[in-house]
Amino acid sequence: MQLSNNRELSYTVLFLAALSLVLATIDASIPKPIPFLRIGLANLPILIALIMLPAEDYFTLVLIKSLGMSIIAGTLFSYVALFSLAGSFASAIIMWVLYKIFTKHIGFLGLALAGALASNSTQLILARYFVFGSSVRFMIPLFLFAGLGSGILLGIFALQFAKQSQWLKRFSEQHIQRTQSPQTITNISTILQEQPGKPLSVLQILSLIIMAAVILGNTLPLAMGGFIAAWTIALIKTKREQKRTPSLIMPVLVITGITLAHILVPRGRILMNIIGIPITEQALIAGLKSGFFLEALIILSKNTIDSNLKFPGRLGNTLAQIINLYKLFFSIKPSIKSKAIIASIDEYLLTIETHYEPHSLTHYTDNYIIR
Amino acid sequence: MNAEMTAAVAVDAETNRQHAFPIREFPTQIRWADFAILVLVVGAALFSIIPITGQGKSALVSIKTPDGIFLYPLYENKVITVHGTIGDTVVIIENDTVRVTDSPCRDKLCILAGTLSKPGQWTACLPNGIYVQIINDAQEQEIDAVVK
Repeated sequence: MQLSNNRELSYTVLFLAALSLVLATIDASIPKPIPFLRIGLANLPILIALIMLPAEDYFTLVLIKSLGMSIIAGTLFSYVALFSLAGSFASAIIMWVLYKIFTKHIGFLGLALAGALASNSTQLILARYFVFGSSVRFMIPLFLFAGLGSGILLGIFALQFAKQSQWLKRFSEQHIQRTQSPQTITNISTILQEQPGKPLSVLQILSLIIMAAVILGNTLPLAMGGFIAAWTIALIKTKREQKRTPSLIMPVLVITGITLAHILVPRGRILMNIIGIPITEQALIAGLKSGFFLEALIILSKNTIDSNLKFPGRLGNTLAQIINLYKLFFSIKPSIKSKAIIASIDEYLLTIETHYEPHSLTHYTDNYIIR
Repeated sequence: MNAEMTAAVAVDAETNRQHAFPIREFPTQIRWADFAILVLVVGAALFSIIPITGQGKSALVSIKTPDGIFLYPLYENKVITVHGTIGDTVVIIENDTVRVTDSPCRDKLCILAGTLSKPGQWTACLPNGIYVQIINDAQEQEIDAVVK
């Protein structure tokens, strides 16, 4: 086996990255009292990596996890991806520093809390400039309490998981074996074949052009026009690919929310009073503009990206592999029971791990991935 | 160095680096630093509610004109030109204060009123039909409008 000068990613990093994407999907599908609430399961592999891996591998994992999630969600070409990347790194850095300082005196609860808070604060600062303007001060408590909630949930989950998981025990033992005898290190990158990139379709190119117009124009009419165009393209695409029509509920909720946030700080002529709150002209226009701008970019980004899209370079290659691995993992359907989340996730992980160990992975990739 | 040797060195460097990294146990308990962080985060979250319910930052500048009522936050620097019955009046919001700097009227009383900084303070240019006042929040604006 020829080793390149650049270090190839180890099986451990690739597995944890793909696992992160799988857990994000599982997290989104667990029924919860509030639809937007997340346990933050996707950060469990990051916490595991913090203990198990050297800094270089840990931060590589954070990078590819964040980019991979943006590709799967389709938001990579909108600034939502920037929010996610910045938040992930802020939280990763804080957790790494705290773990360096306290090592034996800190556990998953404190790490997860600090991480969630760092991530939310970073996103809040970015939202100040990109989405909400100075109304962001009304959001501070909301973001902090959300961080508190998800931090405690993930922290307790990670603690219980570390206590109970059979998979984690096995995975870390095998990781140690792999690092101690480098002969057995199997690079998935050499196993998973490169897939040829597909050329962009007309609808994808059109989406990119509209995206450029919306960003460069940066006015309310262009943002609204861009949103309508983006939505039309999305409808044509889903019809063509015979997928379920996407719902307008989320975009409408987001635009309404952002507009309301802007209206909280009145600016300009009072157009009308609704339950004692004056609706001012400039605040309304600014709110609608940020809302439509954001949603237009998200939908356009989703139109452009499908998970088969191939990005150039080593990073692009790695991302393509992780998304392949993610799809491979999901070829075994997880059955997650809300009442026994840890046990059922553990069981699921053991199943995929025994199916896709480095050696058996060769077998599987020969049969499935290359096609 | 030929290719094989480079490869061997790379493998060596790899094993050394990995060996140097200590093998650690996963934490399974809540430790004291966890409590410290929990207390800090809860504190920060509770503290963050204060500036919203508290006064100060929410003061607004209300400008009544024949064109309608305009509202602006006092904390944002801004130059506003409003149209009155005889011409344009210029209002400047700067460093949490507001003042009228230009007016088409003869006696310039509105400019002489100087800089306003506290809720309740006002200045007016009667010939031009402009009334500038600092108010505490938007609700006060509402009550004011009903009273008049």
